[in-house]
Amino acid sequence: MDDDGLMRQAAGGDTHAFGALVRTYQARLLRFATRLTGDSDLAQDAVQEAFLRLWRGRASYEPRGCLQAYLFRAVRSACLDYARTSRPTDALDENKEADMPDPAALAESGGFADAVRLAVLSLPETQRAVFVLSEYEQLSYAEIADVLDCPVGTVASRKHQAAETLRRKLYLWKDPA
Amino acid sequence: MNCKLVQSRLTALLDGELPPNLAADTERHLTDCPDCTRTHAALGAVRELASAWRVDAPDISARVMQAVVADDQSVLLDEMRLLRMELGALRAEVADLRRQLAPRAETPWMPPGRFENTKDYPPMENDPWNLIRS
Repeated sequence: MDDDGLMRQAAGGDTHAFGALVRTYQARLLRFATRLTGDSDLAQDAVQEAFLRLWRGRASYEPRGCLQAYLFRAVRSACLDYARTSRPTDALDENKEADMPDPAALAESGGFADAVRLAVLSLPETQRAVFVLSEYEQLSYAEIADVLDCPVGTVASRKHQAAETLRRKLYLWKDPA
Repeated sequence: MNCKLVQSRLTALLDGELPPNLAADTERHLTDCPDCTRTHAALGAVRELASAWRVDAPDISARVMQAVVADDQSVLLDEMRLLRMELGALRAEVADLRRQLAPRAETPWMPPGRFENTKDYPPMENDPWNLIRS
């Protein structure tokens, strides 16, 4: 059964149908939230909150074939809410580019994966959301525009800015240029 | 096509998001421009580098469904609480009405116990039956 069919059943109070939706989307949403916040506990809270919002609004949910976009949007919104209220952090400041630790120090402590993690987390939130959805979740620019409620051209420019920033920050590791 | 314009399109080219005509123009430029080719390769490498950050996604479905059931229960409890409050307000209203009505019952429009049967009622001045009888 497709998402809309499951949501119709869930709207009638069928928790099994809703559970099927949770199992379908939880992994993608958790990865997205973790890469957006850099905090796996906060990511789990945000994903749970997104599903709860969907459950509470199930009666008024209008099936338009884009449950995935709705859920990504709800997770991002929950991440921003949590960051604002419970754990204020620069990682979710929408415009600020966080300071990047010294890559040489990272090489000694955590290695390459940590350098990439910190470089992605140092992007301004709007660029990071685009980069994560495109690069890790393989969403098209049009799908990302739907999630972030912005024009496709804005998605393209944010993705390019993010890629340029990462190229600059990770040049010590590997840069053919 | 100038290099600045081409470089602004390289990420979209790598993502396969450029319209076919723009993609063809950009690729044509790349064959003749070593600078843009280097930038193109560097941006391509960023994708490879990014894949080094792996994230675990534990199964949280049981936790979410528990929260869903708990949320339903809390909604029901809220409704019950609201109904209790409304019931309390209604009881208070009824008690108030009773209090307002009670003094009226105790203040008779005729002395109590005087006319216990209909035959004891005082004769009406213009009783139509009296007119018929007469």
